This record gives sequence, C-alpha cells and structure tokens, in this order.
Amino acid sequence: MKQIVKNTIVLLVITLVAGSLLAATYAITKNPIKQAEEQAEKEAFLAVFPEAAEFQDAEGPFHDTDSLTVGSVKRAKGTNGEELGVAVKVTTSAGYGGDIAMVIGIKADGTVSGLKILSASNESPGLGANCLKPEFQEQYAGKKAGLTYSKTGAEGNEIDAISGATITTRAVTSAVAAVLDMYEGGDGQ
Amino acid sequence: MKIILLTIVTTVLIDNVVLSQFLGLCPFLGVSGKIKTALGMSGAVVFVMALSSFVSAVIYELLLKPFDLGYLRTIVFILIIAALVQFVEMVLKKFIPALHQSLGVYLPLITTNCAVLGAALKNVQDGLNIGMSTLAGTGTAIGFGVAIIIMAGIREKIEGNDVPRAFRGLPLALMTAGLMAIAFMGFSSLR
Amino acid sequence: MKLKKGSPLERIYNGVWRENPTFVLMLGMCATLAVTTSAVNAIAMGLSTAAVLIFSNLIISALRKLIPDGVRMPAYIVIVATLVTVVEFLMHAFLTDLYDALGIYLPLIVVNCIILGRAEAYASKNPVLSSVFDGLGMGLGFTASLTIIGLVREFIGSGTLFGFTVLGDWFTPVSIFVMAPGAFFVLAIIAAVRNVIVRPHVRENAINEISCGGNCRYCSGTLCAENHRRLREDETSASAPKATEKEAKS
Repeated sequence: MKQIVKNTIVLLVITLVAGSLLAATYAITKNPIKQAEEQAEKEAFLAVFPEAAEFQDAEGPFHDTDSLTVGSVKRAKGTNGEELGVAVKVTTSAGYGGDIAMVIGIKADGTVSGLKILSASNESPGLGANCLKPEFQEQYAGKKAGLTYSKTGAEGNEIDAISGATITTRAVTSAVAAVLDMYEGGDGQ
Repeated sequence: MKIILLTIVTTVLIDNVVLSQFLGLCPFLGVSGKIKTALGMSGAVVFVMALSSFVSAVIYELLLKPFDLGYLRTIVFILIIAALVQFVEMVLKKFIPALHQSLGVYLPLITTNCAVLGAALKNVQDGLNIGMSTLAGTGTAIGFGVAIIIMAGIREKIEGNDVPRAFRGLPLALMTAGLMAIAFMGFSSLR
Repeated sequence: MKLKKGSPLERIYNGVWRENPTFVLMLGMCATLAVTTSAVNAIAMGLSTAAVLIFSNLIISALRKLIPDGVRMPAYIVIVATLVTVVEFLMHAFLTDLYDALGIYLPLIVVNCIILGRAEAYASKNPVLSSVFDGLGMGLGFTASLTIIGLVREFIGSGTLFGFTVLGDWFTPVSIFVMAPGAFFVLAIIAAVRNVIVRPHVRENAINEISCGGNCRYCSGTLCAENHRRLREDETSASAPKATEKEAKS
C-alpha cells in the first residue's frame, strides 16, 4: 500500500512539473510562432506582388470547390495607394501526394502577376517537388484565364509541364485557372 | 459515402503506413518472419489502433481543444496508448482468454509502435472529426496488416534461398520492403 | 583505443562509433528512413533528437534514485514527451521551415527507441555526467549517420548536396532514391556492409547493451532475442512469487 502511494506521488509530481514546463514554453513561444507564420504569409504575398507597399484584407469573388480551399484574400496597394490587384491563398488537394498550398496574384486586367507555391511537401522529391523551383513558378506570370499545360513545349497560354510530374503540374495549373475563372465571375469549375 | 471509401483506400493502400510513411518499421521487420505471427501482430495492431484513434480523438475534441490545451497532445496521446494497451490486455485476459492467447504476446510490443502514436497525431494534424479519425486509424492499421502479411509471405518463400552472406537477414528484408514500396507507389494513381 | 569506462570521451566514442545507434544498433529506423530525403532535414532531425536525448538522460539520471521501479516507464515517457514538445515549440517558433519539413516525425521522437533505450539501459543506472555524455555521444552518432544517409540519397536522388547543385545538367537524378523505396535500398546496403564489417565485433563485445538498450519490453527488433531472454530472466528473479502465481493461473 505504501509503495502505491509513493508511486502515485512521484508520478503526480513529475506530471505536474512537466505540465507546467509545457505551459510555460507554450506561453513563451506563442507569439514568436504567430509572428513567424504572419511573416511567412507576408513574404508569400510579397512574392507575387513585389512592388506592393501594403496588403489589405479583402473579400474576393473566390469560394471553395471540390479540390480547392480558399485561404486569406488580400488587396495589394502600391506606394501611392494605387490598386495593383488581388492576391489569394489557396490549397489544392489534387496534388500527387495531397495538398499543395500557394498564393496567386491577379492583376486588375485579369492576368497572373505571380505565383508562389508555399508547400508541396507531399509531392515526390525530385519530381513533383520541382514545382517549388522558381523556373516553374515564373511561367505563370502574365498568363490569363483558360490556361492549360503542355508536355511538348508550351506556347501562348500554356505552361511547360514538369517532366515526370504531370499530376502536380495539372493540380497547380487547374488551381490557377479556377481562381482566374472565379475572378472573372465564373464558378471556377 | 465517397469520402469514406476514399479515406479507406488512401490509408490502406496509397499512404501505406509502413511503405510510404515509414511508421511501425520495428515490428514490420521484426515480426514478419512467419505468416502466423504476422497475422497475430496485425490483429493486435488493428484492435489497439482503432481503439486508440477513437479514444484520442474523443479526448482531443472534448478535453484538449475546448480548454486550449492542444499543446499537451503528444504527452496525452502516448499515455492514452500505454494505458489502453495495459487495459486491453487485462480485459482480454479476463473475458476473452482465447483471443488473449493469440494476441497477448504482441500487445506489449505496441506501446512504442510509432504507427499508433503517428496515426493519432496525424488525425489531429489533418483536423479530422471523431468518426473520421476512427476510420482513418482503422484504415492505417489495416494498411499495416496488409504490408506485414505480404512481407511475411515473401520472407517465408525466400527463406530457403541461397543468399549472399552479407545480405542475409535484415538487408534482404529491407530490399524486399523497398520493392514492395515501389509496387505500392502504383496505388497513388487511385487517388 | 583505451578509455576509462564512463568518462566523457569514452561515452562520445561509444555513441559515435562503437555503438553507433543507426549503423551498429539499428535503432530509430522510422525517423532514419523518413527524413533523410535531404542532408539538411537529416541534420535537423539528428540535432533535435540529440537535444532531447541529452536532456532526457540528464533528468532521468538525476532522478534515478527518486523514481520507484513500479512507475519507471510512465515517468520516463512523461519526461521524454515533455522534452519533445518543448523542442517542437522552439522549432516552430524559430526554425519554421525545418519544422514544416520534419512534420509529424518531430513529435514522433517520443517513440524513438534510442531515447527510451538509453534511458533504460544507461541513464537509469549511471551518474549524471556520464549519462549526459552518453546522450551527447549517441545524439552525435545518430546525427552523423542520418547526415551520411541524407547526403547519399540527396546526391543520387536530386544531384545536390545540402541543397546546392553539384552535378550539371548532364546528370539525370535517380529520383527513386529520394522516394520511399530508395530509403529502404540505401539502408539495405548499409545493413549489408554492417553484416560483413561491424556485426562480428558487436556480437562478441557489446551484446548486453545493443538493440533498444535493454528496453526490449517495447521493442521487437530482430536483434533483440538475447535481450528478451535476459529481460525475462530479470523479471523472473525480481518478482519470483508473482511469476509463479501467473504460471499457476495460466
């Protein structure tokens, strides 16, 4: 009986100390974690509108579809407060290994100002994960609604597919196309 | 209905817990010598994992989330699993001795099977509700069972072969696992 | 090399070379295979594990006389899980990229055999200083092995080292090496080499400390048979009346 009491007390003390240590760490790191996340998001939005001075939270004509989840929407303003366009964070579940998160910037004239893929951690390294390379993402700048991809050299409104990763290319391209379609008033399907 | 089917296919085949997530490798390599033991191990894992996914999802949804204690989840889940394994063993021993006889030896091995904790944590990360967590956990466990039973089948077949000395034992098992992983990659087109 | 048993240098030599957790003991395979797609991820995982290992060894060794045998395991698990969560928070706050890359494998350090294994096999029986250096040695050994595996996979699989392209356009990366099957293949080759070179040495000298460091109750590795036997013997001799009672029942 005495042994059980001792066991219980020791375990209780350890658990209490552990719990308070965790609570303390949580309290200390809460703000840095939030800041790091905000910073990362800001950098992503800046990547698609490098000339923007400020981003304002906005409501857009964007909505979720079967494979698309819309995150924050922000309006990009230039140094003199002029309207540059709108940037939207979306996550598509149509990747090869699951979710791909990206920020898409759309200029006022309905063309893509830039694309920044935030995470594609479920895509195969060396194949689908090549979508994180700037060469791939830069192709999207200037494209307009109805864009597609091509495996045999892109022309006009087409994206050069990543070799060996058609599914990833398709997922990213159709997400961009859907967002552009919604921007123009379509239903994004 | 569609989402249920998709979850099962994903957890059992596409994101197979052993061959694509690398969880539960120790028992996968250690207990896959014979089909019989592999069956016993899978039975125990399915049993414990379905139960632990359910219990950890319930505790997370009803206790940790409402009180903003999500940061305690790792510590809480591992204790739930450890306690659950003990509890399951006692209950089985008392009420279903026959099942305890066949699964008993495998149960204690499961506590630090990272697949069990991994499944519980992944459910939280993916933001699944209680029902879906249980389903995903069960699917993951079945995936483990499928992988380990196939592995045991292959190892029983190649047991008598003349293998170069260096590759006997673990290296051969790992090579086999690698080839199985290639085969399982094919399932990703089901998504 | 002759070093005093339990001295800091001996412990580090032991962890990095003589009982290297990955190449000799074959512990913590899940993390080893999952995060070694690139050298940077491998280093991050290795160092996180090392940090947890050093502190868990320190705390467990310091408390070894206070923790009653009956609640040893739960107490260790609570301590390790707490440390892992602390590391997780710090990574999330200050190294967000690596935190994202390691994903679910970071909290899973809790069930890494190396940590509980060293706690049970070394820290629970030895003084604080030796235990800390045991953790340091094992941690460094783990980090070094992960980095080597990471470098091999990254080099063959994407033609880069630490993220820098080292092979020109003429090289077509063998992508399978950064995918799941490649991990198994690389480890199989390493295990084969170990079978030839390292294993005889281990078999002769260090069997009592290998494989899950005696934590075999919770492990089922192929090398554990000997330890399972010892564990059973220990349990029988420690709780002889209990054991006979159990036998009588069944």
